Amino acid sequence: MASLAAGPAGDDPRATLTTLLRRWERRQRWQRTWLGLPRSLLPGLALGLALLLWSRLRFGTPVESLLPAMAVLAGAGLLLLLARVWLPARPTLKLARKFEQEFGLSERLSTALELLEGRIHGGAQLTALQIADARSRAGGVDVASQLPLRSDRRAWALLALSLLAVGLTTRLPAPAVLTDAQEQAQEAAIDEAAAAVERISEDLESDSALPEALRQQLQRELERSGALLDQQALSPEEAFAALSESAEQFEQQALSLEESIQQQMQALANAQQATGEQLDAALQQLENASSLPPGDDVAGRLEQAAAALEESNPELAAAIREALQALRDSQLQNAASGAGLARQMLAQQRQQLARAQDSQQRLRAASDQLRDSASQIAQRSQARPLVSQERMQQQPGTGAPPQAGDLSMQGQPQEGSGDQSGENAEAGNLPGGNAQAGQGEEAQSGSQQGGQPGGEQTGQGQNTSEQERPGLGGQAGDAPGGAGMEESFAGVESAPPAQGNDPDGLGQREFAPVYAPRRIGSSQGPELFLENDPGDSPLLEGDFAPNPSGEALVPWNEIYGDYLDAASRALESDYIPLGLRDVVHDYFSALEPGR
Amino acid sequence: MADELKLEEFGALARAIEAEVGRVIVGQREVLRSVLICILSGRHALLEGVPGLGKTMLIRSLGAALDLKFTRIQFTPDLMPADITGTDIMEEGEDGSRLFRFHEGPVFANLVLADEINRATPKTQSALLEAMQEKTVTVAGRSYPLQDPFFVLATQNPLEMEGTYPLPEAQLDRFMFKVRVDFPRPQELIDILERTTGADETWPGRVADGAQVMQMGHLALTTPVATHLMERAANLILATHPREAQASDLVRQYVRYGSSPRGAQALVIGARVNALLEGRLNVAWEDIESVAPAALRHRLLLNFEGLAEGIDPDDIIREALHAVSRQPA
Repeated sequence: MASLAAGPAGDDPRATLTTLLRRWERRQRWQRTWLGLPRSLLPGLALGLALLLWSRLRFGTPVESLLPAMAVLAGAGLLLLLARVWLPARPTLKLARKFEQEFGLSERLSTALELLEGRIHGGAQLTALQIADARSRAGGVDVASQLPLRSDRRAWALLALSLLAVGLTTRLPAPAVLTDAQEQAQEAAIDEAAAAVERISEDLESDSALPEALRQQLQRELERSGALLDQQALSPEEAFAALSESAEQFEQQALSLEESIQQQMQALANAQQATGEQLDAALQQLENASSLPPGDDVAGRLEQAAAALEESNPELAAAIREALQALRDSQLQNAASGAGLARQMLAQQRQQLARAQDSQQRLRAASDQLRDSASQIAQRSQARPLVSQERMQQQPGTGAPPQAGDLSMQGQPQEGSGDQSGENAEAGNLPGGNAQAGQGEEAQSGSQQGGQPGGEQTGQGQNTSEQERPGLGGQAGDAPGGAGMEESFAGVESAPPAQGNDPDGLGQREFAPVYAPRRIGSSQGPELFLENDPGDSPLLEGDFAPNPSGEALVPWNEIYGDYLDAASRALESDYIPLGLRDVVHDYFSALEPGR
Repeated sequence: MADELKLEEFGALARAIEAEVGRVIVGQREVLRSVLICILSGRHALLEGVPGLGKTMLIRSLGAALDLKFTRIQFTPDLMPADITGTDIMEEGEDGSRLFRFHEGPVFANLVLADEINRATPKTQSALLEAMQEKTVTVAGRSYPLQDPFFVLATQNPLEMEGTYPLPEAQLDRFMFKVRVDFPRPQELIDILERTTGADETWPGRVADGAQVMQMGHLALTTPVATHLMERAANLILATHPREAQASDLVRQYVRYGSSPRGAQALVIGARVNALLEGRLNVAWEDIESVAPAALRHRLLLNFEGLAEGIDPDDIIREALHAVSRQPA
């Protein structure tokens, strides 16, 4: 029995066995840690991935704020594993029983330990030999082969897949939901707009050429917009609507002013034509009536000029006629002084016309400035349309929104069918603005094709459908604003049902027309018209430097890639209907430089 | 003295005994090991098997190898207790006086073979009770001690039940092991024919004596047993009792009464000896697994359902062993 040889003298067998057991225990703990590492990370990672997907798709939460949460979850799993593997402290005897079972040591270790502790007794000869045998056998255990550091390939593969999924998820285009940065940008744009309104108001106040009534009317409009922009909880849609409405007012007033100037200038031109020369010169001749050449019909030409000025400037016409009358009465002195007065009045009118032209230019500039501000707000809230859509979908039965949505394009949300509808109307408004300002040409055509044709289709049965199908109206009202391209396609798609086509081949059917209201609140309200182009202001996207020369600052072939990428991302998302993605794709393919 | 026997000597003697008997008995290694365990434990064994399997030859060979006084008692229905224990016989002395002299029966030997023990009447069978348990024989009010070592190795035929008297539970419990002697395998049968049908007769030589056997037994009983193994052995015994929590469904259905504490003793003692015979210096679970069927099978009392369905107690023991082995260390 050579195997029963005793161990080295002076060696504490109990300490030896205990040390061995603890070493095995550590090895096994490392083994379990390594084996369980991927498994411990997986639940947290899977949970984090689900959270990432959910919050990103639902709320558009930025990846940067979710990745730490995912790391915490995975770390918690790891901590749990470490706690489970490393924290439990087993008594030596239990360890001995466990390992002698695993290593096939046939109760040698536990018996030896109990003999050493005096818990059991045996013959003196057998006790010594048994302990030596146990130590010898335990020392011969190859712990590396008995407890190899195996790795769970399947779990590692799953972990790698999960990490890959996380990576891909972080690259997912976030849904159009405002991030904090976007919200800040919106607020800044609204503040800038408010400042612009204030500046315009100051300019208006200092413009002496403007008629007082017109100035007061425009000031009231600016005050209304300014008050709205100063509100704390103002939505971008509301700001956009207010600014658009003010811009419209200024544009209209500029137009009417221009017409007035044109009329006066026309009358002046007619008067010039009637005199056959410069009116000024004719009056000069009259002023020097004493030196009038005989046979010169200055009086007759001035009479015709007075008739031409009768409507546009009756005072000047009257002054000319008085001078002429004095001439006919041979009161040359009076005729000369009357002609001089008329010359002064003519000069004054010319000055007034020049100032009025300046005022008209300022009104136009103010209108453009207001539209620019509205466009800035719209650009910085590009993500809002989906939020609006989600809100609309979450509020079934709100039939008013579509009406107000169209209404808000005219900037009168508060006159809709209540506050709620007004809010929804504004939500529907912004996409329209988006179409103008942010989405490029297709957005414009979208608003044209999708907005107006839809309205025309519903025009036939408007009175009834307006009452009966408010829900559909919500979609129709929303569709024209739906991120530009979507709105245009909504209009295109709505056409076939109106034609009474039969998609299922069961014969011709009547389809309810798509609801597209054209009146505010009810059929009794004022009629609305959607504008194709909000104005002459250039369509801007991004941060453009002033470009007075009007030249393209960025070569098309350099930015085409950005547009194509944006289009590709949009095509990969759900925002564009499946059947219309080819249209978008073909559009951008056609724009490719060099084609 | 038992302590004087070295472990190396124990191993050498054990191997020599098994080798010497193995020269005569073909195969039957497990039977030989079980009988040897009983002898080294100083306890008795019951061998069950059909006639002609070499039971008697095995015991005779052991007696020869161990140089023990061997007697054989053929149990028959008309065998009387005195035929076993011995009796007082009146004798006349040289001086003409008459006196009773005790004539020892065949039980006064080191190794008693009680052949076909179930053929004798219970009264005769019970005559062995005192001898087996107390190692004394009482005749006419006087007790006579039996010599050490003393082993009873009984045999019985499991097939012929007519005209037999099955051993009562109390007597069965006194046998440490009930060893089943199975029919030899084909190659073993050929070996038996080759050895026993020729002119040469093989007989084992003496390799040990009674004192050495006792020393071996003493050494074996000092083999240490870990606490948790003791607990497992106790749980195993409890698992054979239908009313205990550890009992399996099989036990609850077919067992009327489980093993006695004497069964637990047999289990642990047998495991101790088996461990040393295996060259191990401590008892392991495999030692208990190895001796459990022989130690427990005759101690399980099957109920009517178990008897009617022919349930093998070994199946119940295997299931109990499996259940106990799964218990945490």
